[in-house]
Amino acid sequence: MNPYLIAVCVLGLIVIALVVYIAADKNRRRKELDELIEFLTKVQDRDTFPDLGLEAEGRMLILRSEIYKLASTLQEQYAGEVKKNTYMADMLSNISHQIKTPLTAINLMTDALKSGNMDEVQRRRCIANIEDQTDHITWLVRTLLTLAEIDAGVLVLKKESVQVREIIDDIVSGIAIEADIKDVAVEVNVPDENTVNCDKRWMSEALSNIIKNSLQHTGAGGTIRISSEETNLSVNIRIEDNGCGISKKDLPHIFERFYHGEKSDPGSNGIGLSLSKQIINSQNGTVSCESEEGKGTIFEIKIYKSATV
Amino acid sequence: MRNTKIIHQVTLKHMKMNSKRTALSVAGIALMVMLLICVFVGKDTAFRYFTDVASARSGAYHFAVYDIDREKLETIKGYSEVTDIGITEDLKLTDFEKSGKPERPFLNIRRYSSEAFEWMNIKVVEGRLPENGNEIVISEAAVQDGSTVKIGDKIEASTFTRYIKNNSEYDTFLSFPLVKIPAGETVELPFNMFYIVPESDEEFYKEHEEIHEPTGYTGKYTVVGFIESPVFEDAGCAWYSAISLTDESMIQSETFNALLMTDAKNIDTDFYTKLIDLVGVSNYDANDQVLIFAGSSSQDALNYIVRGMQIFFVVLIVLISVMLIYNVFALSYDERARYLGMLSSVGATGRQKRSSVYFEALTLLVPALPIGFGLGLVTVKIASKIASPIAQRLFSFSGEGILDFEPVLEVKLPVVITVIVLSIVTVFISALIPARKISKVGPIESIRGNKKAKTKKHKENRNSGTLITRSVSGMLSSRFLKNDKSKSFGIIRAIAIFFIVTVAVYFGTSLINLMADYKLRDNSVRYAYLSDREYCLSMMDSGDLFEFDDIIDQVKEADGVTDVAICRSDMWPLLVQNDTLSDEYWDDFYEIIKLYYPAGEYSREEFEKDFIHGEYDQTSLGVIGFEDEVFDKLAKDVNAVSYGEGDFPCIILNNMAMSTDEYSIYGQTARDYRYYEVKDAFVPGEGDILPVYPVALTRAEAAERGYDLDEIQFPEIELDGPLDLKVIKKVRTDEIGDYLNGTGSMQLYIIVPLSVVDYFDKINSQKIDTAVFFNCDDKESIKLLSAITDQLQDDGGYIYFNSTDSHVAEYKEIIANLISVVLIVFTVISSSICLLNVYSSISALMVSRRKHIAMLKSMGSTFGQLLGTEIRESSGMLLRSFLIAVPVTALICRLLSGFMIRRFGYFTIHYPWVPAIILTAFIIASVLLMTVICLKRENKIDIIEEIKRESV
Amino acid sequence: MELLRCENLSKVYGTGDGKTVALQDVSFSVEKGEFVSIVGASGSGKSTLLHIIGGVDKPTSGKVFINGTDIHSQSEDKLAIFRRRHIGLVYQFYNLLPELNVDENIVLPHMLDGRKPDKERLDKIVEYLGLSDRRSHLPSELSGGQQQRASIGRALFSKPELLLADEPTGNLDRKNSVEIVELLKESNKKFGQTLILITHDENIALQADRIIYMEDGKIVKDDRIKNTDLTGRE
Repeated sequence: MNPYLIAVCVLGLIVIALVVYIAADKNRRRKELDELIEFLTKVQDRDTFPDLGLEAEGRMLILRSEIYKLASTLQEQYAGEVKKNTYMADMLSNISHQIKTPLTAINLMTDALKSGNMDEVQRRRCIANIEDQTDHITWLVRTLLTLAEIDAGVLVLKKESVQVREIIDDIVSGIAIEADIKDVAVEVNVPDENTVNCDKRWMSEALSNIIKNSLQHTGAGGTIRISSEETNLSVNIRIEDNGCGISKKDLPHIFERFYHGEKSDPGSNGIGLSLSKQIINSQNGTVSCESEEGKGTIFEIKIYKSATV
Repeated sequence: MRNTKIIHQVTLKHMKMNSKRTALSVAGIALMVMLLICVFVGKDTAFRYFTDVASARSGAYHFAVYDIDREKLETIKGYSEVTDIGITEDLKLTDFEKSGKPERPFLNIRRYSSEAFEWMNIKVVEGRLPENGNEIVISEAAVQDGSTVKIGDKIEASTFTRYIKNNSEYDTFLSFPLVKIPAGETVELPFNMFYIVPESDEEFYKEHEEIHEPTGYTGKYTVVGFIESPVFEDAGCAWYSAISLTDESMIQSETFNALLMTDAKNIDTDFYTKLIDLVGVSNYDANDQVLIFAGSSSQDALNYIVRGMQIFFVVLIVLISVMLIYNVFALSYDERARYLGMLSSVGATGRQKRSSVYFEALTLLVPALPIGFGLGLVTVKIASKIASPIAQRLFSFSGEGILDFEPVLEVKLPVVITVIVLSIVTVFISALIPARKISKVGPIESIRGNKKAKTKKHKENRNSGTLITRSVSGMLSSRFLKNDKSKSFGIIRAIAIFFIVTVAVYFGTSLINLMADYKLRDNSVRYAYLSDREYCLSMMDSGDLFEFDDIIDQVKEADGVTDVAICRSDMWPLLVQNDTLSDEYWDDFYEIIKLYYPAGEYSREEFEKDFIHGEYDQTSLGVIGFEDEVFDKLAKDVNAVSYGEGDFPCIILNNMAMSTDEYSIYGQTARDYRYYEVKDAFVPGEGDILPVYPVALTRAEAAERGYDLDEIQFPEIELDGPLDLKVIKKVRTDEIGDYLNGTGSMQLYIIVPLSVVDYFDKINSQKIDTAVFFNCDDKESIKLLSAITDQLQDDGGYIYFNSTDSHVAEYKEIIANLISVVLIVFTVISSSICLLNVYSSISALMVSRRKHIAMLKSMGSTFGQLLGTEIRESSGMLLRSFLIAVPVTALICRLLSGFMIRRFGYFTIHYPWVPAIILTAFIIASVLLMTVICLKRENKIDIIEEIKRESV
Repeated sequence: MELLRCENLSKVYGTGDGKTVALQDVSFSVEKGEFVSIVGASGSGKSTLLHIIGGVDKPTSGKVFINGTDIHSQSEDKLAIFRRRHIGLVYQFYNLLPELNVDENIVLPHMLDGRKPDKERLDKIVEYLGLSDRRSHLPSELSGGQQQRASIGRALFSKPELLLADEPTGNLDRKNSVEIVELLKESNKKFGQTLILITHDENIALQADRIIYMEDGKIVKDDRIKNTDLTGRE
């Protein structure tokens, strides 16, 4: 046989094999892509979030796996958003309710004043009452605005290196008088070196709410211990009191907005702790609470050091 | 020590747990023992077998002397080498009235001493052997032929010698055996001569008569038994054997014969000379076939080779076994460290820990020894059973069939002890180093499970992040390789050893083969194109005894003989003048001779005087003759110069090689070894004249020298001056491989047609040897021809008849063949052991990787990825092993070949490239396969178990 | 959104007299982003449950659905790939391959997928774990706490949705234990990884959103102790 013929035949066979292989490969690729497109389409359709399906080696499936992760995260976020909107609606009604009460009181007062039936003492009392209520409304609005700003992510939080000691000392001196009146001791055990990266003003606000809360719940003769420590990961601030404590029923909900505990002050609005938590959370920290009824409460605030990943 | 008992118990428990590994180790040791047994017992059995066969064919005695008298007997007795003497007498023939066959009317009365009965293999079939000089046993052939003789009969013997007188005018020729009775003469008949029954051949007795000449001996005997027909009794002769007992005191005749047994190891050429001088060369016979295997030192080459082989094998076996056993202990190190470490923390001493290893070694040995012994003996038995008929077939052929002989296992006590001691020593040597290592283990190692834990200092950038850019299996495999040094070393070592051992053993055995070939086989030039003929009858000039042509005719006329071809060759029939030989020849020769003298002491001038120009100015020239037609064909095939009528064409065989081995000056040994190939030994070229001289004196020359002209045999044609041959071509044997084969030697040869050989005969005083090659399918013709040959031999003729397979019946050839077989088997077995070693190392590595495999699987690695990792690891190890193995192997091969050349002489060494490459491919394939298999096995394990399993 | 659902899981070892029932008809489900801790005495079957969820062990009966996939109906290889991409496992010991350094151990699942790891991401994670000066060290040169941190790093790097930890602090001292749990919680809160943690330590267990108590192969109590914040960001 002619050797050239043989060579050509062999070459031809090789070429054919190559062509077949390439075609099959392209076909397979196309099928995979089609599957992926179908998957993506399903993902977009909110109602029928698809299953992940079987895994296998290959870039396409890695892609699918990553898309799935992304999609489920987005799904979560969306669900979260929906929840948030519901929540916002609730909150608005709550807020209006909250404002309505003092407003109603103010209306009553002004009506009473307008009627002119009061004596000087009564009048003064009314005006003082009105002042109180407007103060309250102002505080409420300011706080709610802050919360809204934080919610919207608009609140600008500065980041500076702040000595914990400084913040604590400021707060303590602020409540010193009240503590004294209530006969509650305040112990501060904060090493000078402990520093946090945060916005000083808002952190103060957050911590002060917590400390005030402790103060409210601690009876005469009690102690509030404020300490802090620094670890590899975070700076931990501990606010401990031996007051009346928080009931097991309330404990999971103390940081919720407008939550009224059983033992809470009728004057408190249930927002203070919520604000503190929000502020701390947005400064890379967490706050948690342990409590035992009758024994006391411990608030643990952790500010993490490292940057967000 | 009671306190070591616990250690032994724990060791035993672990051995039972790893029953597969233990069994493998026992098998390995048993194999080693088996091989040792094969080497020693095999050799002993083989030799014993050959001795037995040889004894059966020709008697167990070492020497036979004939026609001695009492005086000579005394002298022989005095020889220290002689250990035992048996007397035999041949009292010739007497009438046998009770014969059942008219063709066999005689009895041949012989008398043997009891030793002779034994050594001549006389076997009783009925009755018993004679116990005194009045009793006799008769060959059973008599009874088989219809004789009425029975035990208890009395025989009266009066012996005589047979003669035939030729009363006719013509010479009478009788054959079976060949006897020529000239007209008018009376000729003594040979002992195995047949009997012409008068009733059947009346013609014969008209002009011939058979005469019985009494010897004077008479005797009365009682038949006490019948024996198997002795070897010397032919079916066609005129008598049955009848043997009685004798001893020294009863010797009747003046002269008798004796059989000698000797202390074969102490025999040297002096003894032969002594004996020959005493009795005369024609009255002496050495039973070579038995002597060879009795260890006679005159068979140096054979002994040396066999001893050398035994040592080589033993060393090899021991080395391989040490390697294997060491590996077994090394593999079990981790496990042993664990439990011994624990025991160490409760106070076990170093010695006690070591004893764990030795105890395991002993426990492995105890079952392995008897198994190995048994296997070895069985193997030798089976092998010898299979090999023995083949061996016999290669024996010299003298008309007899293959003897039905069971090879007997020869197990000598010193051999058994040697093997046991060797095995024990080997096992304990292998255990030495592991024992030492284990005695150092402490409790920490066992608990941590990580013996290298904190001792390694961290080296910066040792494991830098660059590996992350590679594929995952690349990264994993290179890390594994780097960090698990001991296990991977074990495998690398095992692979390297497998390669080295296989190639080195293969090479070594091929060298031994070559050497055996060289030393044992006859490498001289011989006819190639006649190798398809079955038989060869070769003859040398035996004076008047017989004529070549007569014998050739006998052959041609025998029944069933076909394809007859005649070749004639001789080594020294002619001479050439030294100046016919080339300078190259003399130069090389000088280099060789120089070595027999102290350096610088033998000058060229002296050499020329001694060898070239002096008294001996001629060199002998060998002749190889082909039939005329064959010669013509050969000439045409090599494009030789043309020749015609009146020319004496010759083809020069240029296959010369000289070495200090081939040439020796009496009493002196060469200072050094040299080997030279002479490319062209002759000055005359194609178309030139080559003058040759006969080895004969002309009358004129004889007269000149003063010789008595009657005493000398003169050639038919007396030349005055040289015979001019025409050189038509110069060839080497490899160019005419169809016609001749063989390698070079010192002998010069020319090739001529038979017609020219005939002419040489005429100018020479001796005829050139003749060989007749032929095929034959008639057993009777074979028997006839061998009988003729035997008889002519007995008469002093130089004539030999044998099958061409054995070419002049060398037992050495058989040995050489057997050596090849043994060597091959050996190579295979030793390689198998090494391969087993490789497998167990790889298997152990995979077992130790279980945790990693579990971890990787839990992190999501597929089997394919694991496989990829392990294969890359194995490839890395393969590469390293080859890097070690190849240079080492090359070195060993160099050393082996160098050693060979020093000891035995030069021959072409073929380095085993091709086998090495094939082996490499095989190793790569098998290692990868083993990796896959072992990994598959490990893959089946439970991930959870491994993850949960803690170190202790 | 439901990430994990176990249906009627049972695991039985051995047969006849030697039969051990490790899990008996266990069913529960876990939402995406939950932090669940499982507590119970030795032999209560908690490790077995975790291993079955993680796909390294097969149940005698019952199904496990992750991301809607019945993981045990797949072939072993497919399950391995699934595990590689979607599940992170942290054990008490021997999490890391002893021959690979910290960097390589962290990116191992990624590399098994044939992907080239992002160097910046690796740097960030190593820094986050506090292992920057130990990157080229082998596990044998790290302390227990550092080893576990590296394991968590591995779980973080490939961002599996489900993180399973079997007594990750069992081998560590208190300080290290605390750090490890914090890291795990970070992963859970910040990156939304669903975390199922087995522990003996009640302190640790209480930090979870939900505690599952197991006894003799069955779930005896399932307490939700924390509510996810209404804002979805607790």
